[in-house]
Amino acid sequence: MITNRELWQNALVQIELGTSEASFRTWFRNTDVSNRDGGTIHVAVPSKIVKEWLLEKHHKLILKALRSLDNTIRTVEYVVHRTAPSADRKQPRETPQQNASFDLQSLYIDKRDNLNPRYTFETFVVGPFNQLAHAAAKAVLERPGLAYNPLFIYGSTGHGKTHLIQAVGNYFKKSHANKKVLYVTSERFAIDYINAVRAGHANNFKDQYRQYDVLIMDDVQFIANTEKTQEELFHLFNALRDSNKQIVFSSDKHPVLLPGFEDRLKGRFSGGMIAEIPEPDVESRTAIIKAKLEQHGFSLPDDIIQYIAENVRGNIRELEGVLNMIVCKSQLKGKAISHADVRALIKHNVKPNKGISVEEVVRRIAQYYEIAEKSIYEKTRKKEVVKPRQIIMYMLREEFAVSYPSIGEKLGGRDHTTVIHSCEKIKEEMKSNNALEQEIDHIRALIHA
Amino acid sequence: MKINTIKEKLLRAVLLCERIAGKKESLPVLSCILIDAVKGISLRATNLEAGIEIHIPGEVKEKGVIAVPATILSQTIRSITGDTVALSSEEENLLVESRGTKTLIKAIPHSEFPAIPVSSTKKVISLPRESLMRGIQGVSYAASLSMIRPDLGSIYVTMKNGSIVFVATDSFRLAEKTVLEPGMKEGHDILVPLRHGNEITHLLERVEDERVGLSTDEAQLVLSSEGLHYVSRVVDATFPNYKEIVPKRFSTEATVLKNDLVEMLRKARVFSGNDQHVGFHIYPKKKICTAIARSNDVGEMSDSLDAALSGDDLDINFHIGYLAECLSSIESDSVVLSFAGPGKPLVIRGVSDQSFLYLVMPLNR
Repeated sequence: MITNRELWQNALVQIELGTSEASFRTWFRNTDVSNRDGGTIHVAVPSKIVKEWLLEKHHKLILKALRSLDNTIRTVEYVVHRTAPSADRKQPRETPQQNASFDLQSLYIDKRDNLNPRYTFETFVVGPFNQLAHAAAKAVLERPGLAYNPLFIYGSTGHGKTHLIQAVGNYFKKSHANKKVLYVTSERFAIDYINAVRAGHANNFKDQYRQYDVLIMDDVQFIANTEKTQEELFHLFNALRDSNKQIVFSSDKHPVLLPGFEDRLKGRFSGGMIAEIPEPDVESRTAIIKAKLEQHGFSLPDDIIQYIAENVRGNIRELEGVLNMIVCKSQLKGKAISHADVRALIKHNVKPNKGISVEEVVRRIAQYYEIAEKSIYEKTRKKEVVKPRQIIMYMLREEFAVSYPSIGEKLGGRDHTTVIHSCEKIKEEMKSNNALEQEIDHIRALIHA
Repeated sequence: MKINTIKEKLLRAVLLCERIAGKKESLPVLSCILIDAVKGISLRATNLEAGIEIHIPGEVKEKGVIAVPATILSQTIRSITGDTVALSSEEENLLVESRGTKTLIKAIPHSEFPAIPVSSTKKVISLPRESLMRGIQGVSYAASLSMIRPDLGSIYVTMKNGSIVFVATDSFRLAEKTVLEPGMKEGHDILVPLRHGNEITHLLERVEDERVGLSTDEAQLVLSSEGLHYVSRVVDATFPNYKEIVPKRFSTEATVLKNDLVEMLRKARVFSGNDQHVGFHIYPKKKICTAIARSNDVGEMSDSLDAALSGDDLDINFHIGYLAECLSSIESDSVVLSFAGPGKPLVIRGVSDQSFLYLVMPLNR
């Protein structure tokens, strides 16, 4: 199977033979095949004037040339380039070099679909950690609405959920110009709904959302405990799914563990494909750093990249921040950056596993379970306190390697055997209880945050 | 073909067409003006990115179509002193006759002259000529001269309820002009490449109608007025959500007379040498507002400006051109310079003029 581009190049050779040189240069310069939809070839042209001309004068020739290469081609349609580069590519005038410029890069959001064109598959780094999510997203694009519907991506902040789901939207937009895509955060959805209800046209709201061929909803966890909004989402979901429209969700938790959601919605979230994007491993972080540096047009020696990958743990956003800092610093200094410089720059981002007090761990975990901090230290054996207490012991042991006796002593003078028992119990339970494993993961992230 | 027409009308149409006609085209007919005398008389020219069609009054004695090189036709018509002109085709040539002068121009086969798609299926909105012109002129200097990034090389036009907003930026500065237009309905936005934007203002300066028609689709815009249709490509790109970069809070404010600022910048330009840098030292508590420019070759100047000041002390440097260019778009006598602190954009507005907003980034030092 030859690509569209090759097909067009071959067709152009034949077309050139059928026209005069001047006419060929004028009318076929800057043309390309934008996409192929079964037997229809879409030819991208630089302007409407060219479009009309080709349609009127050269249509037969073009069709003949294309069909001689591939007889499954039935029709040719002409579209004007979305952002055609004009014929003249003048060099920009000398800009005052020291002048700072607006940071516009992050402000390109298409108002029709809220997609940020910066997020594409080309810039998405695939590693072992996000392979599954990436493959699922690709499968969705091949058979939208049919392969996995809905696609549910979850993972902690900064792991690339938004990038992946926006890439799905952008890819879809590019390959199916006539399909409508919408990217919306759940918060925006809720606000829209509330506004529609307040203005008294809730029905318009329904119609408005149902017209999309692909609906991408980011961070669904934010509409927890909103009964009516969830109901609306539920109906919207059913309507879209019944007509085989693709739906993509992202969230920070597995759908089953989302608090404040009705079961029927959770069930629907889980009905398609669920993919997690966990924390990137060292190799993936190295790959990400390299990709980001390339985007900056910047390079660092391998040992420094390795050092950053190993030491800046946590999410990709943070990694990006560190790289920006390094790039900025080296531009300021105007020379290559050394190992020591990097170490000094990232000292705040390196998170040693020590340096957080037992009290702090207790406080954060108690907060997570919404129980009083002091109840952990007390002798109470209420069920809602016992479990968090055991988890605290487990975390202190596993994450911070505190000795059993000292854990016992710090948590209200308990015997070290109690601590051992607790840790064993949690370990054992985690094997069979996925929900607990999830919880522990979150707590781990919370403690290291 | 055989037609009689008024010289003045013909000249105006030829001059407008000549600007549009292709300059270095491989297809010779694209550097031509097509004279079409089938249904009335119309002149057409195109460079494939933009096209123009102008109807002129006149008498058609014999129908026909002919294409002649734009520059040659314009030179010929320009030199005519008579009030009326007779154009007729003689074999493969165009014969121009007027009050005893006869000119024969070699015509070019016109079979490859493209149709100019002036009719659009989209709704035509009627706009006041003045506001459209003022809007584009008020911001066009801030657009980037290169089309490498199509959104920055274009003028962004949005129709809002009751107003039209024009914006342009080259990422170093940004100009926004709002023209109130009661009865305007919220419509979609377009990106007009700078080159076509300038062409539109040039056209608007030369038509007399109070209102002009504008219709747009994804690929092109059509501007029509008194028998004239101008078609140009629009860019289908996303314009940055520029509202985000307008600072919300300001640390230092200075209100100065516009003329003082213009004069100061004129002088600073002389003394700043190649750099074209000007430094401001604003100390509200000491009531000091000084502008300094220096270069090793010329010397240095320091001007103190009469200004109403408030906020924190600030030393900040700018590129002179970026400051000076916006001032002609400000109609009020005094301007407010609102600084958001070092490294942050400066906002320039006219006092009590909410229609214009200008944003400029300081120098990196």
